[in-house]
Amino acid sequence: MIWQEFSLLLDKLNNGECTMKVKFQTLILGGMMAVLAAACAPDPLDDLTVEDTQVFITNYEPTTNFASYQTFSLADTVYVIRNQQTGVSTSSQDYQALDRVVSTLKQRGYSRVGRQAKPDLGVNIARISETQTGLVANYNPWNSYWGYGGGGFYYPPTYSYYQTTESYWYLEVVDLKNVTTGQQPKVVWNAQIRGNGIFDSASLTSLIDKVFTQSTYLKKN
Amino acid sequence: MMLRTKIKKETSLRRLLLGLTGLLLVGVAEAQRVIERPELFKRESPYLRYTSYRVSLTGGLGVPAGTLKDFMESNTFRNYSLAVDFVFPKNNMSVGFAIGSQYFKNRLPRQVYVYDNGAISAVQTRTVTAYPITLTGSYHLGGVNARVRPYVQAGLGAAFTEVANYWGLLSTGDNGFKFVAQGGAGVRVLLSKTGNLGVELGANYQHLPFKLESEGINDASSINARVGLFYRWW
Repeated sequence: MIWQEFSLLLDKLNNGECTMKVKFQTLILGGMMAVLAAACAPDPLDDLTVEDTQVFITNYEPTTNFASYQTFSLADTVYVIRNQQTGVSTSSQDYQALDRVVSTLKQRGYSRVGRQAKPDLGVNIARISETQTGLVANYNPWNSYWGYGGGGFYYPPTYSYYQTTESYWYLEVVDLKNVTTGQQPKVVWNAQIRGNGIFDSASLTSLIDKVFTQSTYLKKN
Repeated sequence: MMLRTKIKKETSLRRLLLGLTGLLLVGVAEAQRVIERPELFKRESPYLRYTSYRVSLTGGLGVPAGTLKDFMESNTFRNYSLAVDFVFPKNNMSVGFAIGSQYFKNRLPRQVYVYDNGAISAVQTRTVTAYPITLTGSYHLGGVNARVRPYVQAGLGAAFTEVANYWGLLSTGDNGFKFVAQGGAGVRVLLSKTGNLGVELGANYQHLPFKLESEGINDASSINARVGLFYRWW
């Protein structure tokens, strides 16, 4: 009987059913481990340079023939998307980003036309801010370990909220040539620029260049 | 006349020497009688009479093993173990538990990772963390008071394990409690013949199944070689 339960537990452990979030026993053990973890685990990212934090992500629709498009249009503003709210921005930095995208696409063989001239591609540039909220418990250091002994007092943990906001660049190219009436145009290419120092105007141009450099297929010829 | 006095002197000198030697011998005999009192000094060492305790703290090299090698190319020296054992007096066995702490880190320079429908350019920071808690059993070669005691050891338990891959600052990976099995061997050497303190040297293989499909690994196993000190008492 004990062996059966034991092997059942093992199965659960190995199938990942006992994840940190759900199981009570994991919480208890986790509490024990937290002491160790806090004492021993270093921050693995504290030695990253600003450049090393930057990540360039590009995706494309593999069936797309990028040589089949001639023209593109681009809004004069950068979209600002902050926790489901949207707006537009026209700072000098935003113009810098817009200009670079336009000149790169022209270099790749596409010509820019107005929105009314039925462009083949639509280009959007956005700054997205995502805020995440979490909860941390601060245990009173005067409590004895495991909650026993000491002076017979137990001070409950105090909770604090933490909030992190990450802002990043999002570039998108949509297919307006093959759009079906009443349907959303298909995104054929998108890019994210994430990390620290990505809104620094001194390096912005080279950041924009990097997502195009790793997307060599995005060209007319 | 002259001759007789000389002889007399010599005899008295000889008697004096004899007397002194005799006294010395009595003294030695007296001392020996004290040492040989069986009721005081022939009793067995407490380590041979009672179950004693041993705590050992060791640290050293950790080397990734199994499929983990594909993910983690660096070895580590952030690799510690604290073990507490009950040492049995007669059968050369001990049982106990051990808490470990292992932390591997590997930084990959910027690289463009190309996928079927895209690419990611990033500096990867890969970490593997494990805090195993194991119940252990050991068998020693040589009695409990032997100055040098080689041993073999096996352990079973669970480990909080985390395998993380940071793309820049963006983290991917998984964590959780996983089953741990380990086996190893080593040697413990007492610093003095009847002392409590000693040096411990050992190596083990730690089997830790941990499936992470995104990184193509099935385990977070490792080979560990640690050195440290142990203290025993009863």
